[in-house]
Amino acid sequence: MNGSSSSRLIVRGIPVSPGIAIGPAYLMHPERREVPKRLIAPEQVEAEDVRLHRALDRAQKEIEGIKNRVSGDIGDHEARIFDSHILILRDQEILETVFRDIRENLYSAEYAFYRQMNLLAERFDAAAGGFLKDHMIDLRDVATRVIDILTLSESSQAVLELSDPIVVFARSLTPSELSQFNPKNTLGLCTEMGGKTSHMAILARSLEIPAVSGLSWRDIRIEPGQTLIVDGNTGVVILNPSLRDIKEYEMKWMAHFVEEEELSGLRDLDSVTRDGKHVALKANIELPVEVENVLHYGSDGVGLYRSEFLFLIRQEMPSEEEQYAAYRYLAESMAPYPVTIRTLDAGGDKLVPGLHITGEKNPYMGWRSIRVCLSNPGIFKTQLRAILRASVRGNVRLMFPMISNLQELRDARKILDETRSELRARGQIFDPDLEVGCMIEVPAAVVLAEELAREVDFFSIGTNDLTQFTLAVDRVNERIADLYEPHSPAVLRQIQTVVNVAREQGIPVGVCGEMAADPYMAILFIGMGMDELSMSPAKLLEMKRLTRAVSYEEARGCVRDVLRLTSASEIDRWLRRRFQEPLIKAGVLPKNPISNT
Amino acid sequence: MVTKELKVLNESGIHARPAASIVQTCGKFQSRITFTKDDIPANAKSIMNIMLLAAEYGATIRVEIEGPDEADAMEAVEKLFQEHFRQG
Repeated sequence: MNGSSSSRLIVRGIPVSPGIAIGPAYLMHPERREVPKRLIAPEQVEAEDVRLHRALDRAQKEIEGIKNRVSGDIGDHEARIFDSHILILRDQEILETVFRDIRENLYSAEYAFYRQMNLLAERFDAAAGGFLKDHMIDLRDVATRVIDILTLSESSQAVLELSDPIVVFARSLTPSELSQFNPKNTLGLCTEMGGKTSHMAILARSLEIPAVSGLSWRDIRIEPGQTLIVDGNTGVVILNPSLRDIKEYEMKWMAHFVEEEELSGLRDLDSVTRDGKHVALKANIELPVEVENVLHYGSDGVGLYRSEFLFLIRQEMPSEEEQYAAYRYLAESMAPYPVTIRTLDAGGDKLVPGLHITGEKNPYMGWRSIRVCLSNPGIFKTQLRAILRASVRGNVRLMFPMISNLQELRDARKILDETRSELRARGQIFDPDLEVGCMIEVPAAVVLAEELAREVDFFSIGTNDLTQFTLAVDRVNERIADLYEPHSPAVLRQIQTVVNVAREQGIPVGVCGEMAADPYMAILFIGMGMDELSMSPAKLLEMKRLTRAVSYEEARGCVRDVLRLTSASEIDRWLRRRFQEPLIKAGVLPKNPISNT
Repeated sequence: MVTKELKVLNESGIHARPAASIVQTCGKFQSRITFTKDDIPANAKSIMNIMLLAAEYGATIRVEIEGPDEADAMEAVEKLFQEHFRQG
């Protein structure tokens, strides 16, 4: 790349948190942390000692500040990792060596500290069984903080006061780095690392900060303070935008704002079709704090609580009490609306520290989800106890993921029964009528739907996995991305089969997954007779507007025609021809649907 | 000097958070406290030393304590191991 750093440049990344941000760039890691060896004069030793002591004090203060914020925002457990950071910072064995290097070898404070941290990182890396690999990030967190304090204070970075609104530009962001920014002044985030399910993305979404990841640093040269536009809806990032770009994005931002105002008028209306069929609109959430968003947008409950995030954001298994506290908070906050808690769905791209150690060759079809739970009854029972106990605190439903045969369902239910007996023996109460459902996301479960339906209280269709398994397309492999077609007749016909079976067996059925929030697909699902659609909270109002604009009878009439088609593109064309105009008129689709691909 | 062999009972071993509990507890005592695993000694008041033991579930740690409050310190350390380093 030979572009000068002040020319306009458009780059594309992965949109991981929606919204638009325009503001000055704040660079987290301007370059790789290479601290050059610098020697000091013997008479400077004392001053260098003082400088390091001051930096350590300041670093400790910063960490304590983060710790307090995290314990307020996320929980005491997450905050405890920062105790470890402070102890690393104050480790006498390390500091003795660092101060000796300054005194005897005349190293500058930052080089002495950097060198020692690098030596430790090497030993961490070499520790038996990769035991300390997960903690490299903690070491890096502490090292970077101290070195930043020692080196960056006089650099250009200081121009940007942290109290000013900024767009953060970083190679990667650790949770502690992200939480050191004031969410009110953090307009947007751009990172090289981290997908949609990274901690960074999850935190960004729950804080409602627009974010784009997957940007290549090699293509980007940016100076602190230069203007950036971040479009978290499309993944577009514009460096040094023209005045026209800025105007255009300001308009987009305003349009979104106006729409939100309008949509909030919908919040308290029922989600019924024009001809009076009720379709429950529920939220998919990953963190208990998201309940606030769900309540803000109004919904018929939480259709999918991805409990694995309780396990992913830490180094060890959450205890029964911690899980109980989270589930109880959810149940109580949402009552009287139902909360569907999906049991631990780990594996694939969601590896739980301490549980998944080695990489699998084919992880999506590997040791994941219910399979992990059934082979770890201890972990599974701990979660089930916590869910059962929370069931008396509100309206809780329990759901098993990735069921692929009857035996798995029966084994899971047997463990659930054992857990109930244990709680009874402990004298703890739970809802004896807790509804138990399963996800339909493996083609085998579609084939066996009738048998499964006799043994559960509800179905929830997971469209992402169902699509990838039906079409044999790895959804994270970019080279075959065009083969990943959720609108394929092979997927849609299976969904219709599941709805029909649920009807016959008299159990409710819903869809949770990205597809539920696609306007055309939502019409189809309503027409199929789906009882509930579950989606990200930000989509709820838009989908309510859609539901209120369509007629169930009309949608039902279309389903047969659509399912007869033989390719995804035909289906898309058919739906667009039939519904694009009405959806634009109803205000569900934008008038100028260029961005609607 | 008092000496005891203790087993690591928490599932995920002595990583950052259990190590923090150990250092915080041991830091309250004057005695010199050494954890030894596979002949590698570690100062129990240094979180880095403790983490670098890479002690997994089931590992045996030899605890040596020497100093004016060694009996109390041993009692506290034993309790910590029994309580899975207070990781819940």
